[in-house]
Amino acid sequence: MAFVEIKSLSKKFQDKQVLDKISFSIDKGEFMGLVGPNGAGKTTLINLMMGLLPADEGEVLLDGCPMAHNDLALKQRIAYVPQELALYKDSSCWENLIYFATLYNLFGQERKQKAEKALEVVGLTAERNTKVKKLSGGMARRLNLACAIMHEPEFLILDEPTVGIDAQSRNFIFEYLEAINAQGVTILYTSHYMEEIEKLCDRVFIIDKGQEVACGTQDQIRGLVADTRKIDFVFASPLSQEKLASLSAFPGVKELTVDAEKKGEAKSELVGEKLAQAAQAADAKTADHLQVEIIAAAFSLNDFLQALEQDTEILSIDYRRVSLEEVFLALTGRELRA
Amino acid sequence: MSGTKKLFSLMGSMLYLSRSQLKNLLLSYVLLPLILATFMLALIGGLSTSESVNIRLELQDEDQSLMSDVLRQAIEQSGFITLSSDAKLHLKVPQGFAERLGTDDPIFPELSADSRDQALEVNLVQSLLDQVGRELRFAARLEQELSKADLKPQELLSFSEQVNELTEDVPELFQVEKVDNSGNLGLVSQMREDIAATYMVYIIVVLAFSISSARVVERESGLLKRSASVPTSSFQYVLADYLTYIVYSLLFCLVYLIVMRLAHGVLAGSLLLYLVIMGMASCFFLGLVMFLSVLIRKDQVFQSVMGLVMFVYILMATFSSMAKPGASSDWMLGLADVRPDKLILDACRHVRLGTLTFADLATNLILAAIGLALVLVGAAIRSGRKEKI
Repeated sequence: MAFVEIKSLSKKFQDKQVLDKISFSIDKGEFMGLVGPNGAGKTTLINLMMGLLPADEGEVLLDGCPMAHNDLALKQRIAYVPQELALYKDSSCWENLIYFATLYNLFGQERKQKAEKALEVVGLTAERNTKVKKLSGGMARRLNLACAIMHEPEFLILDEPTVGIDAQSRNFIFEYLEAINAQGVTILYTSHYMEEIEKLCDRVFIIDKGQEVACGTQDQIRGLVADTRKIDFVFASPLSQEKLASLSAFPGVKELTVDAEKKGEAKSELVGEKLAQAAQAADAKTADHLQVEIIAAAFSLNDFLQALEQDTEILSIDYRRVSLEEVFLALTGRELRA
Repeated sequence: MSGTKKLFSLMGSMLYLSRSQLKNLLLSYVLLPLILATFMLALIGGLSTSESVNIRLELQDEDQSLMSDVLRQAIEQSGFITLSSDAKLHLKVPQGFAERLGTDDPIFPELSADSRDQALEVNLVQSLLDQVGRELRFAARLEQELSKADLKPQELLSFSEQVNELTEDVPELFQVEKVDNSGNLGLVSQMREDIAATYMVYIIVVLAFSISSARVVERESGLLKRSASVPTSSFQYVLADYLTYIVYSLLFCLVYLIVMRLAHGVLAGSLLLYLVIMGMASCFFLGLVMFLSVLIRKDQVFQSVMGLVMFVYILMATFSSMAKPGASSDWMLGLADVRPDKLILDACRHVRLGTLTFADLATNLILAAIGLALVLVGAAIRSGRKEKI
C-alpha cells in the first residue's frame, strides 16, 4: 500500500479551477518530485496535502488515514519546509529551533538535544546565537530546513528549498536529503530547477494548469516525448545554409539547431584570419556547431554521418538522452507563465 | 504531555524566542508612553506650580445667605483659590441661590473669565463648584425633607440615623474634597495621576496594536502557514500567544511604574495591586484585539481598524483626564462611563488612595473574563475554519 495517496483532488478558487482531479501516490521511502510551471497548482496541492486548505473534492491519505486539518497525530509524522524563510528574523538560530521544536511536541532535554543535532546536521553550530537576519541566504535556507526535521518526520514536504542559495549550500542540502531518504524518510520535493529533480527524485509528477501532465520514473517521463534523443556535432568548418536545409529534411530528424552559445565559445578561441573566416561564415548563416534532435526509431546515424562528411570534417559527436527539462518544456509548452 | 503543559511550554518558548529582542521591545513599547506621559506631566506640572500660588477669583455674593457663605468657605478652603477683588476670574452667586438650591429649578453661580487663556483655571474652579454644589444641594434637600416631615420628638433620633446612613452611602461625592483637605494638590494632582495611569493603559493598547503588525509579518513570511502545519492546536497556539502578550504587558507596566514613581513621584500605592489590575486590563484589550484579528481576515483592514481604535482611544483618554465632567458634553460623559479604560483608571486611582475595594477588582475581573472569552471564541472560530491560511 502506498504511504501517501492523493485521490482525485480538486480545488476551485472562485471560478478558477486550480486543481482538477489530481491523483498520484508516493511509496514509503520514495523521493518524489513535484514540478510544474508558475501557477500550475503545486502550492495549492501542497496546502491540500497538509490540510491547510479544504479540498472541494477528493482526499489525501497518509498511511491509510485521511489527512484532516485538525489531526495533530498525523501532523506529528509530517514536516513542511515552506518556500519562504518562515523564521523569526530578529531571533537567533537557537531560539528559532527551540520554538519550532516545542511546536513539534519536543520538550526539556530532548528538545535541546534535537535542536543541537539539527544545528550540527545543517552545519550551523557556529551560528547558534546569530540572529536569522544576519545569516547568509544559504544559512537561512539550511535553518529553515533544520526547523522542520528535529522531530524526525516520516514524510517531508519541501517547497523549493534551494531558491537563491549558492552551490555549496545546495549541495549540502542535497546530500542531507539523500541521507535521510536512505534512512527511510519519504520526501516530496518541489523545485523549478529540473536538474535538482533529475538528480534527486525516483519519480516525478508533472502538473500544469491544475491537471496532471505526467507521472512516473524519469525514464518513463522521457519516454513520453516519443523516442527522442539529441546529438551534438562540432565541425572543423561551417556548414552552408543549403546543407542545413537538406539535413533538416533527413529521415528521423525532428529539429536542427545552431547552438549560438557554443558557436560563440568556439569563435572566441579563433584568432586572426580564422576569426575573419568564422565571422564571414556567421554572416552567411552557417554553423560549426549543430544540435540535432532525432526520433531514434526513424533515424540512421550512419547515413547522417555520411551525408555530413561529404561537406565537412566532424571534430566531435555527443550522443545523449534529452534532459528532463527538455521533456518538461515539451510537455508543458514554452509560453511564458504568470 | 498534557495540553496544559504543552500550553505553558509553548508560552515559555514564545518568551524565549523574543528574549534577544527584549531591549528593542522595551524601547518600542515603554519609551513612547514614558515620553508622552512625561510631556503631559510637564505641562500639568507647570499648572501645579501656579496652583500653589493660587487661582485668584472675585466673588460677588448677591444672595448673602447661609448657603452662599458655605460656598465661600469651601472655595477659601480649597487650597488653590484666593478670593480677590481685582481677579480676572469672576464668580457671581445670584439672589435666590439658597432658596432654590433644593428645588428642581436651581439657580447656579455664574463663572466668567476676562480672557480665553484662563480656560484651564475655569475648568478647575468649575470642578470644585460641581463638587461643592452637589454637597450643598444634598444638604438643602435634606433640610426641606426635614421641614416637611412632621416628626415627633421620639422619631427625630431614628430619622437622624437614617440620614447618617444615607450620607455614608455616598462618600464619592466628597472624595475630591477629602483629598483637598489633606493638603494635597487636589485636582491637578489627580489629573497628573490620571494621565500617568492613562499612559500605562496606553502601553497595553500599543502592545495590542502590535498584534496586527505581527499577523502581517507572520502571513508574509510564511510563519502563519508553517504554524498551521505543525501538530499544535489552534487553542494551544492562540492561548500561548495571548498569555505571552500578557506577560510582556505586565513587564512593560512594571518598568513604566518604577520609572514614573522615581522620575515623577506619581502612581504611589501597591505595585502588586497595580500589576493585578493591569494584568486584567491586558486580558481584556489583548483578547479584544485577538478576537478582531480572527474576524477581520484582511490584514490591511485589520491594521487600519487597529490604528483608528488606538488613535481615538488616546485622544479620548487624554482629554477625559484633562477635562473634568463639568466641561464635557453629556454624550461624552455617557461614553466615558462605559469605557473599559475608565474602570481600569478608577481602580488605579483607588490603589493610589488605598481605597481599592473588592468591587473594583470584581469589575476588572469581569473585563478580564470578557477578554479571555473573546480569545477562546476566536480560537474556536479559527479552529472551526478549514481554511487556515
